[in-house]
Amino acid sequence: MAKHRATTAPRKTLKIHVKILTEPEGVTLRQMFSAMSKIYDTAGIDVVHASTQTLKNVETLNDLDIGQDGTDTPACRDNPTEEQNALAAFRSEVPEGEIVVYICRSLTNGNVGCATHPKGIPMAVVTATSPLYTMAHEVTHVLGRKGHFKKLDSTRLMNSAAIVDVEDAPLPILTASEINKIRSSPFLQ
Amino acid sequence: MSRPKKAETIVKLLSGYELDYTAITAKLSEKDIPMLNELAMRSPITIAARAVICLGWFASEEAIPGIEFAAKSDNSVLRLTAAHALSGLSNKRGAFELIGGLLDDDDVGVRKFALRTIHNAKIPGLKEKVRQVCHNDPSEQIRKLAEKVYERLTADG
Repeated sequence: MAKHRATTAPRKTLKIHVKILTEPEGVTLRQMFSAMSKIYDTAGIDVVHASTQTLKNVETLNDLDIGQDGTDTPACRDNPTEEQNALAAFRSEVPEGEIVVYICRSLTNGNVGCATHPKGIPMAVVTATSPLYTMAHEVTHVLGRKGHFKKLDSTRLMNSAAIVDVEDAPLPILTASEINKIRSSPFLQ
Repeated sequence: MSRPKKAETIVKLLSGYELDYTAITAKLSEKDIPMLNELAMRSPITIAARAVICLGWFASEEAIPGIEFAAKSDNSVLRLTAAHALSGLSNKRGAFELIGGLLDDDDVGVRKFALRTIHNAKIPGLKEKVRQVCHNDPSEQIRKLAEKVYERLTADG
């Protein structure tokens, strides 16, 4: 089993703003942030839940199109959809360079999260029923860790399969190379 | 010739954070449609929705039962997933009625994906119903989307 790797590098701060289209069900925001903070602590990164806002009058973005709509191009690749671009416009007073996580009711293709975002507008979307580590997983993509560890390995945060069964399971880890990668993100302070 | 896959094998394929259905369906065959129908009807919502999407990718009449189950489910997310999945099956028996019914759904997300399916699959038989949505839907955003769909259907004759 992989071990947690604590870094001795200077600590950095990651500010995350949450915009709610649908209230989380099952896993609470507090639990999502707590899980993410524990994982990111090993990377020398302090996670700050900077703000929460409930969005109104965005009902048609609540079930968000993230791509692969009858095409062979997989969802959640390089280019955001029209709806992801529309959602990205809802950043009210979020400082430039800080990440927004939107919580939607559902995403097309049954995805539980997606980190594709317009250039220079860091954001991720997760579903209201997503598993505990989904926000941490998607934000790690936003910070520059592309793709997934191919072999199924639930000890890793960037496992290709969502880690659903968390009872008594060890905290998933970031590898040393993943830590190096995300620590170089311009979205950290 | 490949054998039908076991439920746990398909569930594993459908358990990602972000899914690539081109890759997933390449590992499945039409022999797996009965199991996908089962998963659509009996699994927790996340796996059921993903099974419904896979069924849509097969564009086979045999995939209709699982999608029909989802379209008539009490769960709005499952219904909108059915609306989405039907874009690949619009010419199959029963699909037309399902899409038309989903256009009348109480849930705005379901109506949105029913409209998108009518747009993508170009279903002229639902043109009059789409025109009614343009005028009568309580959501302004849905009315605007319906106008786009209606224009597309009109342009296509």
